[in-house]
Amino acid sequence: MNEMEVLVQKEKDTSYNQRNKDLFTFYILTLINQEGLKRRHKRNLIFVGLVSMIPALILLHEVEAITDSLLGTILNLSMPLLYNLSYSYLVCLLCLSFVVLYKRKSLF
Amino acid sequence: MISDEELVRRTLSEGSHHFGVLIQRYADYLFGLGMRLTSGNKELAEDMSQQAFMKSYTYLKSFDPQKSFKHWLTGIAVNSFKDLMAKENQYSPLKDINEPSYTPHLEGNKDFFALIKPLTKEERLLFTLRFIYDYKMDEISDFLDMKSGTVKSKISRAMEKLK
Repeated sequence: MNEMEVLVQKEKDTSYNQRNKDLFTFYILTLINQEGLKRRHKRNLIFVGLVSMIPALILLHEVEAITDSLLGTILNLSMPLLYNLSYSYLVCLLCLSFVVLYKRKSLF
Repeated sequence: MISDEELVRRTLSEGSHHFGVLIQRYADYLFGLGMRLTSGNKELAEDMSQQAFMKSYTYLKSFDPQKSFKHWLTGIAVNSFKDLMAKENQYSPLKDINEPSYTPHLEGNKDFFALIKPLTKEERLLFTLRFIYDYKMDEISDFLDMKSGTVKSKISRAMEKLK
């Protein structure tokens, strides 16, 4: 028997013991249950997500009408407002420049 | 004593608490395998053992009751070891830094670990499975998803290194 065979045989005879086997088992089982719960939770979440999409799908055919009316309202409200604002800004700017130039007596 | 196959069947039908018996039964075996593969690194050995049990539970449905549970579990443990090593290599550039961050606490038969030190991790794995656990070439090739001829040549190369 050479040295290598002796060492191999010695290693074969060596026994290794997992420390706190009960605690180790409990820990693994806890991890397993945790993983199971995580998977179940994910499945439930997907299910709830899909179910909650059903009302949205039912309403989908009316989406166009809703969008049109909403967009129309926005445009009807915002366009005159934008027009008036920019018109007032221009008038104010003209008045202001007239006053400034008049005070400097450079206009007339 | 309830057989492994029966415990697997009960785990699948009645719940994970039956798997606890299998963990108790194979904890020492997987820890020993881990210690030998990691050259006595207790922490890594425990990590490997834990990962192997977790994976085996996840894929328990794929277990063929016609085959040995121990054999199947060994295959999973070997692959867990390979995954752990791959993860360790991923962070290997950190080893270039001179500051030692972590020194593993090594235990076990130091003479044996010194013997297999010149071997690569894969060769150590093959050597341990072949000569410590007396697995046949076909079984090892099955664990590692390798051709039997490749296993044979790698083992003989490892033996050459040790001579």
